[in-house]
Amino acid sequence: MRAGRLAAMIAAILRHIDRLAIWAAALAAACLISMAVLMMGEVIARSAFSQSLVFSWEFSGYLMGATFLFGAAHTLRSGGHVRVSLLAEHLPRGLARGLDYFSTLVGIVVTAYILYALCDLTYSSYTRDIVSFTPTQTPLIVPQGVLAIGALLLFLQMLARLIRLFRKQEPDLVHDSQMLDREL
Amino acid sequence: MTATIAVTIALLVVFLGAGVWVSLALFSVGIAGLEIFRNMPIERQLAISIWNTMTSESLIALPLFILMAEILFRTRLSASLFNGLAPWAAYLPGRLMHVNVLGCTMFAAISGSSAATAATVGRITLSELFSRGYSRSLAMGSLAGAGTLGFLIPPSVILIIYGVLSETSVLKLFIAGIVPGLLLAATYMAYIAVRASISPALIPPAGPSATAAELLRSLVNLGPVVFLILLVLGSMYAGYASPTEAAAVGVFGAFIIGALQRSITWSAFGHACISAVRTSSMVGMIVTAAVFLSQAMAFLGVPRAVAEQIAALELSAFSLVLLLLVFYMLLGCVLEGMSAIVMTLPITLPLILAAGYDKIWFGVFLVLVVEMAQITPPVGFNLFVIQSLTGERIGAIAKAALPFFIIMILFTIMIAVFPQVATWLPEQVQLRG
Repeated sequence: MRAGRLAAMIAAILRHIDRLAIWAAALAAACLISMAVLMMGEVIARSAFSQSLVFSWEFSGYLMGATFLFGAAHTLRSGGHVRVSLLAEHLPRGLARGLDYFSTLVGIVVTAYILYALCDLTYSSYTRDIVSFTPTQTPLIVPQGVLAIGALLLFLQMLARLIRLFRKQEPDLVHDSQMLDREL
Repeated sequence: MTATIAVTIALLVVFLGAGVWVSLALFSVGIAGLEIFRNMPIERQLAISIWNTMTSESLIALPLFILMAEILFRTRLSASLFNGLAPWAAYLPGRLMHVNVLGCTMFAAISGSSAATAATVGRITLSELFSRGYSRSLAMGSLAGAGTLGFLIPPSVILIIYGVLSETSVLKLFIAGIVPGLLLAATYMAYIAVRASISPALIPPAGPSATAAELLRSLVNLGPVVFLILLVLGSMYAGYASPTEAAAVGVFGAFIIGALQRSITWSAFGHACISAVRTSSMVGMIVTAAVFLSQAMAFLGVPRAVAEQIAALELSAFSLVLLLLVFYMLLGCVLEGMSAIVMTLPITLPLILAAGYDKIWFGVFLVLVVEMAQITPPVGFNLFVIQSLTGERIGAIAKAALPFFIIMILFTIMIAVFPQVATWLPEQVQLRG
């Protein structure tokens, strides 16, 4: 009975982590579109009014960072991050599973360290009130905090992956219809 | 020093071999290397490096070109490309078999990726060629080979990444890709023509030839592609837009074409965006990790040490290039091409510069090497694309692509003997100012 409740709770947590990743990916898509709009705005401003928008390049950069890291968790979940599968494909099932555990553990350690490093950077920008060296004087805590949140989501997704391996569930969602999309 | 190099390489091989995601493996090797041999606090350095790369202005073109390709993949552009090219290709020896190369060459001028080029062009051409009785093997092979032109003919995602890592002008790299790209396309077409003349059975008998009116009408089909080429490449070379701005213009151009053709729905647009996010995130993470790793390597003095050891071999410049070619071909069998390049660049670029080759030239060389990796089994993205289009076995597709792979090797050696093929055009532009 208790084991059943625990299993249900873990399943619910995994679902929530997935939902977070999907929402973050949708946000990343919005960032990507905004980048295109900002850059288009820059082209129009320069060719039609011969005036550059002061913020377009700088903000596009922030948006790109957000696209990369907000998208990272969902990309992991859908098997989109490139890895060498050659060895795993030619090993017996058990050994291949062992390698997957090892990779996921390495992934947890690295993403945790990246998360720590980005939080530390954001915190120091906060305590020292650091703003960008540009006319906009953007407080860097905002774009850096965004990267840290993205790293947190990636770390959570990596943890979820380990739990799925323990529970003998398929760790990556790869649909055939997605295969082609993924390779592009 | 030898210990540092040995440990770094061993860690890299173990992590990559075990299947750690390429970006995370590169991060871990960089972190571990600095922790073990320098014993210094590196979290700040790691964070600053991630922050600088992920918000770097010169990288912005990358996700935009990826988004553009995703949108175009969902339009009817490939059908109009086929309809526009087919009546003209009928006059060549080997007839419609040339449509793959011609289509990929044109599409490469608006697409920055080779898998996207192969997928977009191939989704129409392969079934058309198969149903008309053209040789399956030659059709698949030419698509695998010509699809890789997506990286060589500008815009090019690989050249953007190389530009960022090597601190070279992306625009100059884009200009350098043009002549080799067109020459390689011409070589593919010559090969197809020769094959078709030697064994006519590969090509079905000719149908009724097109009338002058049909020929003219077919040109209308090429309209959207030509419009996009003018928009993207034209704005860049005429000096109206930087490569990044041209990418944004291209995204809008692709969107307008999809809207005018009524081929792209809002839901398809959403899928295109999410798909572009996945690819951008994957590539962006790898590039960020590669930049950090190369900073860590420089701190540890690894590139200098390797360069000294290679210098001790006293190779001529040409044999160094051949050595690198073989090295990258082997690496390309197990690794995806872009990953192979970004993780080795901190070591190979100083070597090649010391040997007297030009930075721009090496960019073109590396693109050719990535292209080969795209069609070498077991890991080759273009092979995967063609597999998902046809359902054939990877082995059969790789065999079909083999002649084109050999052409690429010979072509790369030719570029090493005559570097001017790549460097001549960018130098002319430089002279003009």
